[in-house]
Amino acid sequence: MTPVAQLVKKILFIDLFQGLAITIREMFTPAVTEQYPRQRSHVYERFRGEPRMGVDANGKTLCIACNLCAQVCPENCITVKREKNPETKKFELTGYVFDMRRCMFCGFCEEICPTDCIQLTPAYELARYDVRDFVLELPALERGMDKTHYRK
Amino acid sequence: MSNTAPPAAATAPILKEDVMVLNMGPQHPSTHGVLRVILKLDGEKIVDLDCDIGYLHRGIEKIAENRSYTGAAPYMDRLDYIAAVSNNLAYVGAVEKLAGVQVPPKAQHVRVILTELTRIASHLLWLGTHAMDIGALTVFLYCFREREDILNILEMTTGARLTTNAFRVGGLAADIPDGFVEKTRAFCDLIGGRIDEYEGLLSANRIWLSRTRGIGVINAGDAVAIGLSGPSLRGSGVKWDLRKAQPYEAYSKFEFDIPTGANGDTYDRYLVRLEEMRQAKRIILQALDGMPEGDFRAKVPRVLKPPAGEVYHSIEAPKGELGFYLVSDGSANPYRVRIKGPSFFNLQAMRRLCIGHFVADVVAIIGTLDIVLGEIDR
Amino acid sequence: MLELFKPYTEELVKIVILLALISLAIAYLTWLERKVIGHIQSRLGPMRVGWHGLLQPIADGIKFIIKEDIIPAKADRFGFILAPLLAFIPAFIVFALIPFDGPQAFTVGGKTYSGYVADVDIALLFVMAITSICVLGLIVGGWASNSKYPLLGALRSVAQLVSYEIPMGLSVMGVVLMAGSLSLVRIVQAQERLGWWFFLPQLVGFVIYFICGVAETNRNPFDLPEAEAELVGGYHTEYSGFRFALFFLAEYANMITISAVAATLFLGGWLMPFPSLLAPYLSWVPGIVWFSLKVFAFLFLYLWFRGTFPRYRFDQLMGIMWKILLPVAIANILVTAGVMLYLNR
Ligand code: SF4
Ligand code: SF4
Repeated sequence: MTPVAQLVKKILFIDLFQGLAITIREMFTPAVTEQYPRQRSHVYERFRGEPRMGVDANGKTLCIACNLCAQVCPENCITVKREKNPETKKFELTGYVFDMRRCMFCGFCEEICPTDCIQLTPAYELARYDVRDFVLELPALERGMDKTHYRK
Repeated sequence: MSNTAPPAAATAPILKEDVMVLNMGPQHPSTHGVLRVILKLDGEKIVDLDCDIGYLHRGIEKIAENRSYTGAAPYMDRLDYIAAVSNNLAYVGAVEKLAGVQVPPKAQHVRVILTELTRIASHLLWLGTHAMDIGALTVFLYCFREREDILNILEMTTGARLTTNAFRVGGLAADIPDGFVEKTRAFCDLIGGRIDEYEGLLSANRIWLSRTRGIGVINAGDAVAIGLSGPSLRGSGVKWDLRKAQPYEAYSKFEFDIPTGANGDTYDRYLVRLEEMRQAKRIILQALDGMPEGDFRAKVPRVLKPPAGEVYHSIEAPKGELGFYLVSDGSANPYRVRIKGPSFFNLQAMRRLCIGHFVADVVAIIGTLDIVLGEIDR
Repeated sequence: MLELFKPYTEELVKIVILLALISLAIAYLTWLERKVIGHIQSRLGPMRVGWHGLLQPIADGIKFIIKEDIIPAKADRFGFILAPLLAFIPAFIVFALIPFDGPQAFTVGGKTYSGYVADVDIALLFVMAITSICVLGLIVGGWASNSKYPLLGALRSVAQLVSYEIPMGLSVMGVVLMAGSLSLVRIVQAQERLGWWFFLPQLVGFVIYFICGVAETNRNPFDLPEAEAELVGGYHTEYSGFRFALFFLAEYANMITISAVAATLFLGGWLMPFPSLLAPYLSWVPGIVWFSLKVFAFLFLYLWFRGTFPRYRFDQLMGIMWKILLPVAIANILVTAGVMLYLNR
């Protein structure tokens, strides 16, 4: 481009009009906003959100109290309370505490669990008013947390 | 952090007036986190400047010493949280090197795709905030719109959007999900035109030019001496990219160019990063085309005890050379984890780049260095 | 006492109506800004308060009023309190002189009224003078806050003030030369006589005026005194509650003023576009509608700029004003004067 052409372009504000054209074009394309409480976002299956413990068809826990999840957790959020059954020589679950205050949702626990019992589900509305509500015991883990639902 | 001699501009005679000390940060809209810059101002001209860091120190290196080799990986996502996948790749790569684990080809391809996507995401965030610091609000939202697509792909593949914990020692956490290839391809189709759009808003714009040309100039020699890496180094014309210089993962299989700048100013660094996004797209498409079949994860013992020894592994993260130096004493936890992060080194150039410029340029220079405090402070 | 105001009933009524309308216009200008910028940026803007956020300005107003009013302990109280008023009141005064419609705008009870509060011979001069006072508000506010960021904002205001005022004053001189009057009403009438609006013969003056107007109102790309990326909030960093709101409203009022003056000087005020074409069909449309449309066009331009451009640095702004616009404005006056001389020979 010759210097003269450049100067003419500059005087005619070509560079600025180019930008203005782009923004006005965008103005008439649909917005991408998600209006959150009215529209909930699509969450993919693998999303690591609310922790849950699975139960079988009879409502019995899937956990075999192997303690692997507690061992693998880098943040030591999980406490597996277990007792050895003297007859079967197997561990039985007596309680399970999941401390979500420390959890960083890395997903190591669900990855290692041999029975797919502990799982991080795609539920993502995890805000609570009381920090104590983040320490989840077995019933809460099986039932799911009490949901705070935001309405419009 | 006064590591460099003040350039000529600082010693040039200034009017003998009182110098005003202005604290920029740690809470300031454009210090990109919690950087505190102590400016000494003559009017609006910068006479001297000092960076105060450490407000985001979490002791990640120390935490890693108390975790297993595999268990420390998620913490590394929290270094440069804008490019979590790259951090993860560097750390996991270092552990693999230490333990001598071979990663299956499929995992390597997926790793390349995800890290290149992260590179685009990181550069998009950089472009958005950089443009916003210079006053162009709209580019910020356009960039975030496209970044959202990348985050969706990451969420779909790894299960999280920001701190993804994407890789495991030996490969991936899980195989790629259905629809991954299509979605990534769709994104690649889209992004080229969108980058043109950002360019249309900025590259030729006279305001943008006058705010970035000749601002924060650093020549190649100084850039190397200070230890800059990544686009900040390449903007000064040094053709150094670890993906080509010491190929890791499957990078040697792909064809791509290393863009470099000529003048080493803010504008050149801007062009380099834009071109890097286009090259990243090229790499992603090649990796998708040549995606091998097979395992996504090598067999790795559950409790990993690498042999005693030490290793340094570095990758080309979006912001520059990200390296991990691991020392093993043969136990299950690393003896020492040392992180060489690009932002920390790039920040060293701040003083050199800013002196003699105006307050308004400081934000432009912070932007152009593309720092993330999570990784500087660790 | 009331007797005293009797001769001015017409003016007083108009002032009240005007105040109400302008306040409403400002409130909805903020809404419009958020909507326009939102859509430019692929967003929606306010959506929740009322239909498409239509009640948002009211909610914002209530929020500003009930917010705590903080005066920093070490601020200069007098200046700190004075500054928002200094910015706010002049912004409203100018509207008294803007001709929203012609001298025979509407008839009530057999008597015709004009579409403006007052027609003064030196109206243009007065408008330019009063609008400059607003900037004093920013300077005083920035200084009185006794804080560093506002101080820098105030400094920038001064730098900006000394650079845009002169080209701005000169840019409208071409119009004055062509119209032969400083009265805004007569400038519009001159355009009616000429059959051309002044933006065509005075294109250069028009562009300069608008650029300076953007600088005067501290809008993007010249929003340096409040450049939030650098100066946090600039001159109003320390302000909160309704004092901040006054600054905020003053800025929008100024945008409307600049747009209104531009519409009057260059776009034929209340005149209808293409009268020969449209007059048969649209002669029933009152002049104030045309005027509002023109003002709206300018306001949209303001918002569009904000959604598109980065921000200049203050030394660059001064460079543009002094090195480019000022010489061009002077050249424009000389050329206009020469042509006028030639035509009136
Ligand atoms: S997600 Fe990670 S941090 Fe949370 S409980 Fe499981 S292993 Fe622990
Ligand atoms: S890993 Fe699974 S089965 Fe084992 S204790 Fe944890 S939840 Fe129970």
